[in-house]
Amino acid sequence: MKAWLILLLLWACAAEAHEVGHRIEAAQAVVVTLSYANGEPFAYEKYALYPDGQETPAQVGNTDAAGRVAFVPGATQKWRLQATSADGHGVNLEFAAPATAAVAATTRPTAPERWQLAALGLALIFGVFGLVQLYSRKRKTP
Amino acid sequence: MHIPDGFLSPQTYLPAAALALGAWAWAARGLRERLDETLLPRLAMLTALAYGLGLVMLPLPGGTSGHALGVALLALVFGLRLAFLAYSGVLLLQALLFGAGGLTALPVNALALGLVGGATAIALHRLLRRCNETAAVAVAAWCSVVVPGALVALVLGLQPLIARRPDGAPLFFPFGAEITLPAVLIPHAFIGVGEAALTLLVWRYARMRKWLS
Repeated sequence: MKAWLILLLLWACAAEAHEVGHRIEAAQAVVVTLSYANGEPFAYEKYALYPDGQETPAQVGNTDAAGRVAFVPGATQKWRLQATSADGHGVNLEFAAPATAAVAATTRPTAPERWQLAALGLALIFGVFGLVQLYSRKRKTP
Repeated sequence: MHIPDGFLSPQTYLPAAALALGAWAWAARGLRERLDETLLPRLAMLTALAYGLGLVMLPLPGGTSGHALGVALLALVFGLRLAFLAYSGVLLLQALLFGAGGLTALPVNALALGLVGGATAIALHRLLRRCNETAAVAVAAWCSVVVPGALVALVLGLQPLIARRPDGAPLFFPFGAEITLPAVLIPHAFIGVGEAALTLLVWRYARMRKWLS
């Protein structure tokens, strides 16, 4: 009987080792939101998040329905996020985690608006072709 | 369909860069030979149109989005060399300004979309125009989207075979061709229909104005 009790105890200890514990707490996370150019979220796609200079990802998974990747940066400041969809869309984004990881909902984007970039591109196209035109005129002028 | 940075192995993009450099030099010689004051404004205008088309995102089934290319209309109006050069410029701007496609992937994108897309359009148009000119333009434009799409999907799908970690995990793009081919081709079959309609419209206008090369 004693032997059976010891065996049962050992089995119980071993069984406990297979459990996955959990802890729920509030923490300040960095949230990276990915979207297609038309604003549709880059939802449910695979991603891998690497600390700067490392080849082993610190976090892998799928973006959520809103195309978000959330992580707690800890002491690591620089990160690389690689997110891919099977049709070849995706990003390979290197970024610094904000000094305070709190996500400010009212942060204003500092990047130029899409229409400004589109206008810049058009200006560059016509500008470059205009220069080629001038160059070709000069060459033909005796 | 533009491949971003970090998706392709150096074994892929370095040979592609060498090939693309040669092709760009060949295309630049083509521009120099045909350089005149009437060609350049038209080329600028249709390059701007192709660039603009790349910015108009159409929602597609499955939650993704896509856009027309405009490479067929460049190829059918100006020929392969000018179309390849102009479309490479469009891809460069899209990469630099919008992050749509990467700089390391630019040679692959340019070769697939600009060169193969343009060559497909021209070859099919020449082959089919004796039967029906309108159908030839439409089929050429549709295939100028789908054929480069298949090529891009294959290049992406080969990455897990080309570059792996010692544990077998892919170093770059993680999906094989059995996933990438349908994922790229199905949406681009729809995009190709829009591309065909638009190319036909522009091609007719260009023919009316006697712009065709």
